[in-house]
Amino acid sequence: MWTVRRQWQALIALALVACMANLFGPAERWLGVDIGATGASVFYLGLAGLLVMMALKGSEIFPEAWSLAERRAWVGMGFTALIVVATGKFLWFFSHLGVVPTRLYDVPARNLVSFIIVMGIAWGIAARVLGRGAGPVEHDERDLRLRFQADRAGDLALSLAVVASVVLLATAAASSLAWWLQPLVLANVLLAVLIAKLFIEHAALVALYARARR
Amino acid sequence: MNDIVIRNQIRALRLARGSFTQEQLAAACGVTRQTIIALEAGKYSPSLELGFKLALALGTTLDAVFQYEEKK
Repeated sequence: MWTVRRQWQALIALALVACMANLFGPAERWLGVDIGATGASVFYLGLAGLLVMMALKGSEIFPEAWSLAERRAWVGMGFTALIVVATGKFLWFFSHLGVVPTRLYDVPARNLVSFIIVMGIAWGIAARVLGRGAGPVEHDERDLRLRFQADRAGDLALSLAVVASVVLLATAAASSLAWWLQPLVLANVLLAVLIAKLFIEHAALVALYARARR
Repeated sequence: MNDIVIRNQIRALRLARGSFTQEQLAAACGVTRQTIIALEAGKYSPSLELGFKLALALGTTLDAVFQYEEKK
């Protein structure tokens, strides 16, 4: 009989495979099955299952030595990773369009936008669900000390991204620059940089908690 | 100046108080249980304020809870 944690890990693996099928599946049907749509359905069902499991069996999913802040860091790292991948896919999609639309409504792959919005909402729900039954103290000085260090890693990454943008603006050819400065491309890049910063902060926090236990 | 190693007697003092759980100590000091676990395992050096709170909750003095020695 699988433990709750093992079931949780299996559901995460299933949801991840389904998510990748949704994001990177072939456009044409495979053995009569729409891989993208099927992947999306399985992924959203899996995600709902994960949220329900967190609500009902939260204490059995994560190790006891992990504080609420560490659990939230893991969840945040997962969701931000998915959003970074989705924004990257969006950018890749734009690069293969002859002409990038000027309005979001005209973008053929706008389901990626709804994916990003759903991920944001699910992340918020997951953070709240984790907080249920966590006791009177959600975070303390140890959490804040580690958070401070993780934020510095995020700030450094953001600074590097800004410097890279400056270098791009200063050195790119006019035709290439024109592509990067199209409103939807620029908006997507800014969103990707912001989410990548959050991902790095969460990943650094997860690593700092692991190091603190060693 | 040499580095110092901070040791603590939190676990021993807590157990000496009978059924004083990590959960109760955490609540008395306003921290999470995981911080008490980290403290007892010697994986975390608390702030002075938390050090005093721990001593107070354990009914003893700061120097009975924490000791330090210079790392050679």
